[in-house]
Amino acid sequence: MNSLVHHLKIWARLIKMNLMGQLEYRANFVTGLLVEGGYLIVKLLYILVAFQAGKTIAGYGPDEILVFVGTFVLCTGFYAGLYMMNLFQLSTLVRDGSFDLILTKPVSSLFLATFRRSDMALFLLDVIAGLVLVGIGLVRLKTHVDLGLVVGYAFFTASGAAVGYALWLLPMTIVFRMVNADAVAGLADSFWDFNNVPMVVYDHVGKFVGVFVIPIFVITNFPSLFVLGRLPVEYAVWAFAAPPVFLGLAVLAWNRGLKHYSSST
Amino acid sequence: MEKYLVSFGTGLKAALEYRANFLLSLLAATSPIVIQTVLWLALFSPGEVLFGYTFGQMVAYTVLSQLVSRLVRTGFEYQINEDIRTGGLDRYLVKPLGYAGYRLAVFLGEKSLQSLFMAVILVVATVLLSMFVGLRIGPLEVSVFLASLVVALVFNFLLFWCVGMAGFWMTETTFLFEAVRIVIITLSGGIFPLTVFGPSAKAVLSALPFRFTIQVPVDLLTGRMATDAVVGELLLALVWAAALALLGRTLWGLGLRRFSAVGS
Repeated sequence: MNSLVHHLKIWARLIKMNLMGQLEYRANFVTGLLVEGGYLIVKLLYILVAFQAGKTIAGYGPDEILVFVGTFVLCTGFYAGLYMMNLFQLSTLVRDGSFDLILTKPVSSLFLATFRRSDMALFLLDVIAGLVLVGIGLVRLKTHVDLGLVVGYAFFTASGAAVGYALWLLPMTIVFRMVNADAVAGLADSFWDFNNVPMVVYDHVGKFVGVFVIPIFVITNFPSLFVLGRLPVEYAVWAFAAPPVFLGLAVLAWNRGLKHYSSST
Repeated sequence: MEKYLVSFGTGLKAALEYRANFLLSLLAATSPIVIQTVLWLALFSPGEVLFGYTFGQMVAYTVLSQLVSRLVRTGFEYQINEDIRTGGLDRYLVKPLGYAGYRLAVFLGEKSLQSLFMAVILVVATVLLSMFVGLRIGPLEVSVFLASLVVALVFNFLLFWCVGMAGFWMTETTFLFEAVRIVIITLSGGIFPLTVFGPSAKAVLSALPFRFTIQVPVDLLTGRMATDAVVGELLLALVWAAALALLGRTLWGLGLRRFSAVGS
């Protein structure tokens, strides 16, 4: 428990330092927001397609799709704001030997390598935009929002964020064996986009793989299914089990990968 | 001319060195293809036309636009920025070759190898598309597609050359380049066909030149654009390219006045 508090305190410091650094280079801060705004537009295009087509997909109308995409935007805040930059920089850290410095610090190398950079601007942009989209969707659907719904939504979102982190980390552990793993980062990043459309569009096999094998759908579909009152019990149980299972696998893969690390300096 | 051929060879060698990276980036293109194909499967009823496309045409567009967008993608703007930021640009300024010509030759060198990979994948994709969604492609479509692809490559080079000039005015441009890239891909029809945006937006986007990089080559290959319209379209693209070349030249001139070779 002490270790957790210790790491949380360090993380808070890192976030503060990153924010100060970002505010120092304001042009970067603004263009960073522009990038995320661009990705947001791409996600909104999927809503546009749903509304322009005006169709129901597997019993889900455009307003429900709005809730799904809104949740995806919200979860992207966690990904883009907290993990993504670390994902793309990990390869460089290993390649140029900067990773040595991380190994010398008296904290977990995994923690420091994957949480040292953050971008609160991207985080807030996506979280706020996501909540607005989900809010509009729920209002249009005339959904009664109470505390239970909010707490449940927050739990499934947190569970999804933890699974998302693990799923991102697993392929990246190959970085210790490959000199240039930039494309692996790009590949892992592209899988994130599977949540651009709700899992309901996939067939049974697709859903099974996306929920239980490579649980990409756990990340953003479960919170939406919950607020729409359509989350099956087995999925709710899996939302509790998936984070420890996949985080455990990711930590194991990281530790095994570390054994292959040889400094380039 | 020989110096540019050597530069072309440099790009070719770089592409050979990072071939695994390019192949993995192509693998990353499968995600949007799968996602959108599944979406179209859910949205289209049998025989229906949505956004002006039949199901087969839409799937073909999805696959081919992703491949073309990967092929025409640039990356040299980051190198330009690096050269300006570190002062390394002065190494090129004292050499008897134009920097833009050097970058274009390296870019085309890289793309020549990637085009070979892509040609194989495109052949496989078109065979599969003809088998499963009834896409018909003849030698005429292939010829005009190849011509439009060359125009698209040159056009995209000029577009991102202009974007790369921002390095003279900004010290850190990574985010800016990425933001511009996303917007341009969207406006080029690289995410969805431009008809998805609705008739009014489509009319505006069709008047802009970005569609020459993705939508036009794909529409020519799939036969959605009449081949007798090719000459007019390509000429229009070349006019836009000339305007971009002029803009790029002006920005280069203005930028060089600010360049102080700091760090070299």
